[in-house]
Amino acid sequence: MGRWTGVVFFAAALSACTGSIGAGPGEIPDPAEPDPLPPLDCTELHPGRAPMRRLTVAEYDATIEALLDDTTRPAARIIDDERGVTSADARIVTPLLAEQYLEAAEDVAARATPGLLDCDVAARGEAECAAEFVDDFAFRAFRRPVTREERDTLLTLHAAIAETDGFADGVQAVVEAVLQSPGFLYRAEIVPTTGEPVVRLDGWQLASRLSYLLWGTMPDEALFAAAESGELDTDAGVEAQTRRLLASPRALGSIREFIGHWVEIDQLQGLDKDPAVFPDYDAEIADLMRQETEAFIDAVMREDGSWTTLLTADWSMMNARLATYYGIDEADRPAGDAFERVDLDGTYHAGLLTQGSLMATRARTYESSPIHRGMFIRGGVLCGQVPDLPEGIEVTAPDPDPGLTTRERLSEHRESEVCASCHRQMDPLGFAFEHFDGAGRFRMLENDLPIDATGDIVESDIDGSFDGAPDMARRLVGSDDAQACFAGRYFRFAQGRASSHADSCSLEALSARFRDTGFDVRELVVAITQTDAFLYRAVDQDQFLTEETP
Amino acid sequence: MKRLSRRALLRGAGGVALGLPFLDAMVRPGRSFAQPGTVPRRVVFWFTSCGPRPETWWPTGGERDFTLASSMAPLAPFRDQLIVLDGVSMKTAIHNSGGRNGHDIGTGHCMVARPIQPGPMGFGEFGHAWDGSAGGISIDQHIAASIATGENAAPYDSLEFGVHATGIRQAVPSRISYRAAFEPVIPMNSPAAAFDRVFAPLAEGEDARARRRRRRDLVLGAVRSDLGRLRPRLGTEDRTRLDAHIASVGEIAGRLDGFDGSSCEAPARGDVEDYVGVGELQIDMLVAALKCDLTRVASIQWRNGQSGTRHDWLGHRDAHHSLSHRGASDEEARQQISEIDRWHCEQFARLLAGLQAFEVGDGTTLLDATTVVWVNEQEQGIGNVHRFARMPYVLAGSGGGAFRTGRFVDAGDRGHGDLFVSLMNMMGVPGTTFGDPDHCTGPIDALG
Repeated sequence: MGRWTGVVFFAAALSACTGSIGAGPGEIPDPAEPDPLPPLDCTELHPGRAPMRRLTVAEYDATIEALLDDTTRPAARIIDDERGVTSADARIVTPLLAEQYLEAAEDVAARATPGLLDCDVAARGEAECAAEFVDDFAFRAFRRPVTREERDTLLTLHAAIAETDGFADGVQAVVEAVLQSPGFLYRAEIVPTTGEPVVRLDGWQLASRLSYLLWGTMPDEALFAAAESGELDTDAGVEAQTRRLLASPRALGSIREFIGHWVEIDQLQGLDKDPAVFPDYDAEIADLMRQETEAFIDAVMREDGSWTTLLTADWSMMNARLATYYGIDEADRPAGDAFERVDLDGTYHAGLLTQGSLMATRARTYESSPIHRGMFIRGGVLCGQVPDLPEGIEVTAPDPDPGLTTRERLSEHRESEVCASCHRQMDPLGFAFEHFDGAGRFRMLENDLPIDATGDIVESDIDGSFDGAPDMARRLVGSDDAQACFAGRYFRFAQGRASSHADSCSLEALSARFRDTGFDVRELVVAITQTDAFLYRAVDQDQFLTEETP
Repeated sequence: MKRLSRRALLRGAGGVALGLPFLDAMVRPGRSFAQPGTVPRRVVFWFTSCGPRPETWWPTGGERDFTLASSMAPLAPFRDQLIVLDGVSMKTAIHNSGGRNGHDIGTGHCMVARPIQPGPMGFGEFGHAWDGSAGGISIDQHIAASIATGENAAPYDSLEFGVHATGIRQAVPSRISYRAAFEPVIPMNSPAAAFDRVFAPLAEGEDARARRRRRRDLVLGAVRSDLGRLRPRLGTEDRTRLDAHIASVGEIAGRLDGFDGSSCEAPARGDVEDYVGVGELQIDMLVAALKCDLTRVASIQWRNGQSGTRHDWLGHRDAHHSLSHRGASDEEARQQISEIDRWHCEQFARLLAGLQAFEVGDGTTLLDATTVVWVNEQEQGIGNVHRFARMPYVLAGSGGGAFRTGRFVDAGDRGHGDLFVSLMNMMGVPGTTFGDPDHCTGPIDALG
């Protein structure tokens, strides 16, 4: 493969940068490469690449639940190594995975079959009952009408097993086959070749796209009905269904999942801290930090749904243990295990950005890391690029020094011209967060020295000075780059692929609508479902093979 | 499909897939092999991460009269079967890494020796190519695919065992084995699931096995029909991915056809989760799989690159990766890295002992017919550096006489692709290059 396109952002300058390099500063690569491709005509349709998507582990389990009322989460049990895989085409089905699909299908089918035998075989005959079962079950499992060949294959299978082992075993075998078929495991969008280069997806395909994007599972009855009636053949019909799905609490899950990917919340899993420096931190705290961020996202989405609030809120969600860990005054702490809203000091706290889930993961085991925090802002929030670490640089972290602050120990980044050329794009952004230690807790002092959380944003569309995270966050939410970055990330998450030049019209439309709706994340989701990329498909997918990154 | 041809042959011979004609052709599991010259060779890859502490790792002395250093003391009983290999670097990781994170690079190159390829999302924080991939096929899979055909092939092309190798997402620093770029081979991390997959079918009665096989054949036949009908309707990229899926279904469909596992001595089925316990079970299953000749190529992956394992049974409070990033002057970290190295050598010795305990005839053991290769992702685990120059390779077992063991060998500034060429050739796979050809010069003659 190796033909990825789209936004490739920033490098890893992992540690302090010391010493000198052979190449002069002039040879440090310029990140701002002009786009050589001519602008697209946005009055035409440009859906971009649309790879076939395979169900994720979470989607598999949710689909099994919707299809068979089976809540045992077989994929999470059997295929646990695929958790967290979301890109449409990052993985293939190896023999091991094929065996795990086989095992999961046998596991599910054995449980489900007794509940699938309500047809009166004695009265109606095996053939009629088998056909009725296949028509209904395969249709729902494939999320579309079954083709004649698929139907014949399944009925032949049923007959072969039923002949020796009985009707019920035949049904069980059909369930096993359906759950391993590409119609179930993949979302392959087969479109008619009419001569048109771009075609609109049919109602069944759009129903699946909507349902997996918004609910992470197969379409419900209403969505199937909308597909069948032609309601999804119009943009207004798609929007109406999107809003219906968004109104359900189930949609919170997918928004949470996206934001979790954005902030790389998985980094909390197994996050290690030096117990000598952070004796109160443990794996449970890491998990509570994850829950805090998820509860916070849910709370924002239930209220104004605003991206601005996500980045600037002066409150968060905590339970008693987490609030105690963070050092919240006893009077303000929630009493029990449930997560409740806790108001925080807006002088220091800025929504997601200062929560433990970000602060503890962008840190070393024994201290904060302004570099990594700054890189999250530069790359994660602004979609900016930081050049690769130049070759020949010896990178070593400065040893901890109890007489200095972390900020002071990174002074070499400013004093060395070679280091400063890149680190001025990161370190100062990270200094904004120095009121939060390496395990996510608020602090007024470091090594008994006062915290300096001031800095300058440079080489951005919001250049200027700030003092502390909330001050910087207020600049960030006014940045066109940050707004477009968030919208573009959600687009890529929704499409399960990188974006490319072919998506520039879709992305422009998205950014405009995001701005027009006051940065309402829910409206951004609606807008994504209205893009060319979501509603249409290029018939010839091979045209995108040429889009190679150098 | 190689499996199909074997089954087809069986059916042609007897009509029913009983496997009798093959008992002679296949090495009978659980028995001593008849003639030493015909013992199939095996290769095992053993992966640990974060690098050792050099001064307690590297032997002192000459090629033959070397003295094992303290971390390798547990390997003393196997001194005559070892090659401690010096002078081999990961040249590809140094000169053409394609990656931006020291552990992405080390892990992604350790068995592939080609540049890292970023995925759709590019490089993320810490420079990880989260959804990227190593740059091509890994040495174990290359050997496995090359020897998978022929009527004497083992049921599994390869078996991959993991010890908490679930990793940091499913990313470059978590994976060592690949069929191709973006086609990682995921190890079996659960000993119980591994047992159920590999050994349980062998214990089934003939009738139960035949019934299940018939059922699965029919079900998978239907699945293959659907896959085959979809294939021509896809674009090139999707079709490539579906082809892999089709091949995988074809491979599992006829896997045990013709294989008589009745005399295979299955290990105990254990369902544990702790690192030490999982490691022991996985080693024992790997040994059993080689004894039963279920496969000729195996690997065991301890955790992943930048291991987050906290060796608390050794009294450590910091995870392995964190220890390796402490300063070079941190005496506690140095000491604890040595302790981890020594503990790994104890586990390595368990594997060697299991292989040595099994006689394959004529006074030779399964260890003699095997070469176990210890690969690491880093040169050293102290001093907060990512380096790939003096890689700490250890080979155990002469690979059926291909390598002269009992030596401390200096290969003399060679790349690890060269080592892999030697391993390929040992396994009967021809070729003079592996991985990035710009950094490979052919087999390492000093091993022979």
